[in-house]
Amino acid sequence: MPRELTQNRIQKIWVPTKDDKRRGTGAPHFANPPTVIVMVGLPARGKTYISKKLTRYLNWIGIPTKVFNVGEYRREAVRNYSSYDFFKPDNESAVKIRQQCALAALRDVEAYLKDEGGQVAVFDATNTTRDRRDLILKFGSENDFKIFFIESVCEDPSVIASNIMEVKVSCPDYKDCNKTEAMMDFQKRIECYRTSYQPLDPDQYDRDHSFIKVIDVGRRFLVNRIQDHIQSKIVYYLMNIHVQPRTIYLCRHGESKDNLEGRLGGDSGLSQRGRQFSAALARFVDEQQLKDMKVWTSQLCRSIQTAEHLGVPYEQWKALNELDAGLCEDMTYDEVKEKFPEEFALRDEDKYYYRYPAGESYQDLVQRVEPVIMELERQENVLVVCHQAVMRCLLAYFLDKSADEMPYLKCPLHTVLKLTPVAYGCKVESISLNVEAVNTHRDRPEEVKRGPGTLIRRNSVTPLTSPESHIKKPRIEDLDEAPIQELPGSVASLALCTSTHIPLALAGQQWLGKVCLRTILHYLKVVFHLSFQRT
Amino acid sequence: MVGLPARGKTYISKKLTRYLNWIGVPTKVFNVGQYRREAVKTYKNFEFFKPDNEEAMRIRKACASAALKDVAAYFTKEHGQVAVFDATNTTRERRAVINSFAKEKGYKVFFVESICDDPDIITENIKQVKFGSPDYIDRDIEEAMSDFIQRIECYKASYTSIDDERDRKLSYIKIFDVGSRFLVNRVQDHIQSRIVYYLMNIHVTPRTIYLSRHGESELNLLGRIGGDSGLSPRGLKYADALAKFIRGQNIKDLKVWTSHMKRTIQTAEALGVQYEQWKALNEIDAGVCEELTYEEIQENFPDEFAMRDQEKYRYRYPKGESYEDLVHRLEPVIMELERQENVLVICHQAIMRCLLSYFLDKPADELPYVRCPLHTVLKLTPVAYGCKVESFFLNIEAVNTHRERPANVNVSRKTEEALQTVPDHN
Repeated sequence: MPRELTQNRIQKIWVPTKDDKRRGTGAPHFANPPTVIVMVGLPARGKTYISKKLTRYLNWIGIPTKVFNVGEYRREAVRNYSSYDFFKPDNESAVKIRQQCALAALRDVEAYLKDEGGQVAVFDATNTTRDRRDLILKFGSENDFKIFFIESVCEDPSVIASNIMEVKVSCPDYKDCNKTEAMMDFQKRIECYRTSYQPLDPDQYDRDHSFIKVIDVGRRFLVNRIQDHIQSKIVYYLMNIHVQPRTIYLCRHGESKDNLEGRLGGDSGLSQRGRQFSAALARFVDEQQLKDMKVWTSQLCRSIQTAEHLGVPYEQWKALNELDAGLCEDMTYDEVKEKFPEEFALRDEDKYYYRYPAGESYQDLVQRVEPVIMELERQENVLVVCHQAVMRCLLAYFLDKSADEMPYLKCPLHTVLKLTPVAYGCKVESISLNVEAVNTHRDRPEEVKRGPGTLIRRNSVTPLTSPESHIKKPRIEDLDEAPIQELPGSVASLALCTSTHIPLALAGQQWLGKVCLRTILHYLKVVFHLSFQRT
Repeated sequence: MVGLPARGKTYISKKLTRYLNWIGVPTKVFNVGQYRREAVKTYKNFEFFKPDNEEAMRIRKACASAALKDVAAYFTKEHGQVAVFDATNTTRERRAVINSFAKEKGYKVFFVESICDDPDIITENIKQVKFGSPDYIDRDIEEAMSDFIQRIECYKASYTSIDDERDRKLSYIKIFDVGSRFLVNRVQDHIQSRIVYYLMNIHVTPRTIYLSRHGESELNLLGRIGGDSGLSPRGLKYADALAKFIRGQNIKDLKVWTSHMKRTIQTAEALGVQYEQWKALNEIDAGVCEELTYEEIQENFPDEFAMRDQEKYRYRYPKGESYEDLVHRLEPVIMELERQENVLVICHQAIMRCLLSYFLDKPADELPYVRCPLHTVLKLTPVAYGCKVESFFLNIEAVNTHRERPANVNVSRKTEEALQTVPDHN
């Protein structure tokens, strides 16, 4: 007898009745068994940049991923960095400490992948010797984790110098040095690694290992033995990203007639003020003086009408269409409440997973919009004229927002968000074009109770913010090893530990991006949101 | 393409061309070997390919030039976007000719080199595709094998692989040992990036793909399109028959995929194995026509109904989708199907038409009329350069849901003309 099926109320996914609490996925979940991505390369080759960006991407498409940066463990163990002498290969006590840090990080990787619902761990360290990599391979095989190496090879001195200036000079190690001192010390630090550096060898030693060598910042790639879907996606992503400076502008269509009536979805045209916004947008784009800017719209009338005012060629993407509200299309929120009161309540309960009857959810949107993200990564200057839910989706990718936050990101009409890549993240400036419009934002209702662990679930397809991990487990069990980690005493010291050092400033109409520090300590969950938002 | 004979160049050329055409990028293969067969009517033996055979060299060079001329015509007169130049192209000299040709015309060049020295693979390739080639039509197998191997030797002496140093400004991908390793250099644009991704996901391990629709549904019985109804009693019988059929096929490690719609899931449930649900496999969204019969569509939206018959591939239902939209939606499914081995896909009529058109290289105007009847499993096995299809009707009656294009597709047509080809229903 075939099992009875029920459609689960939030996601509208058909599951066998007794199983109906299961969180379904929009697409098959391919990432089992767990994978450890191992970065390889001399300092200042972009390993941490790649680690963070890749982690952000994987979390956004719903694969729980976390970076384990051994440098951070080292900074915890050795409170004050004095000079490059620490990295000299003959500095025995330092070598011992560094080894312990790597082992501690691996222990945390194991815990993340086995007990905390992680699917991919990114082991961010130089890993430049075969010994170290063999240790990791052994660790992987003991635990049934797949190992995938990402090696970054670059000998262009101007690229290296630029990397050092961009992210090393301002790193906690050099907080008391001036730029020149920092630069010189760091160069010497690189030399310490160079003699013992054994690059991945595809012809002999590493011929059966799975890896990608990224050469000269993406000019050339060597890909060996991709084992599965997730490695294939990682390779595709790495081959599409670049580091050319560029700007991405996100905005919604101008105010539409449906907006004025408070109606969801539909395909109406612009209101009078919407047209004013479009004209203002055209002026704004002109002022920005950008070379070769691409303009993308959805296939809905209001976004195309907005782009028409710009007087430049634009490309229409169906994938950028607004979230399909299914049976609720063209209704006002009040009408939805009246006709489908249960649906209305369910949506507020779990807005990310909630799928409108015969419509879509934010989770579906992420799937749909992924090719747009991939192409955005390939492109340089782009203006995307889209819709509220779609814009929230895109923004969550750029600003590393979790599934929980995504449906409540503020994306008001008649406001352009200007995104510029900087250091390890993204600078955001919000520019209102000073044309009045209705507010279409609905905040998360107060009464909705959210359980603490609802989104931390093994095998769930849930964008999680790439966790800033300072995993400091008290070393109570391992009495035979010197304790190398301490619990941080205060928030301040936590802030110094992070290498996502994005300066915060509030000036007039500009605000710089959210810095989200999420530290998961062994016993406590401490979540900090430092957010400065223009409302 | 670049590489010694029997390295899979034509296999890759054809497969890649099929994929690019399916995703809507007009692509065509120009196989220089075919030009040579036109020029030199009968093939005698490998001596034709000896490097010192001057007359043959002249002919081969002329063939290559003719092919390049046709490439130019394809781009300028036939609106082609990608041309696959399928030949050995094993010397720097020949590749330089191609590069200057392209530079002169403003075309981008992307090299795909296949490198393989595993004798088992080479022998297998020769068996799979060379014995059936027109060159060896009257030979016995051993004769053909030995001749072909000597043919390969003729190329080896002058073969220069793309040089990672000297050719570092070129855009290329080197494929080693049938995809175990890749070297990718200077991907210039979106299409090259997609090509690289595709090449990195395909494999040649033998496997089988089964395509089937869900069992007959309640709405099928009523002649209504779309919706999310459950299986009819006959549909449930089909689900059981499918389970029996699959067990009988004795497939190792079969993956089962369904859509998010109740009817495919119910069908999969009968198999008693794990299955994965893909929203991308959902049936085409008929927008305002969801759950209507064709008669009701004709009554309420006669113009839309006529326009759909005029151009069924591009036509998008109001607030719904077109077959063209489906292809975009299904691309990740195809990519994952390429990665996988044995898979059973339980889907819907329009979806199955799209997937089948990919495997059988059907063009856009045929795609929406491909026959995919209920209660029939299609078994696809890759063979030589294409795909063998076997059709299994599992002997459970079902309604016919296939509507042929009527004779009159004019908006001004009469109701009877519009409804001429609607299949019977309750």
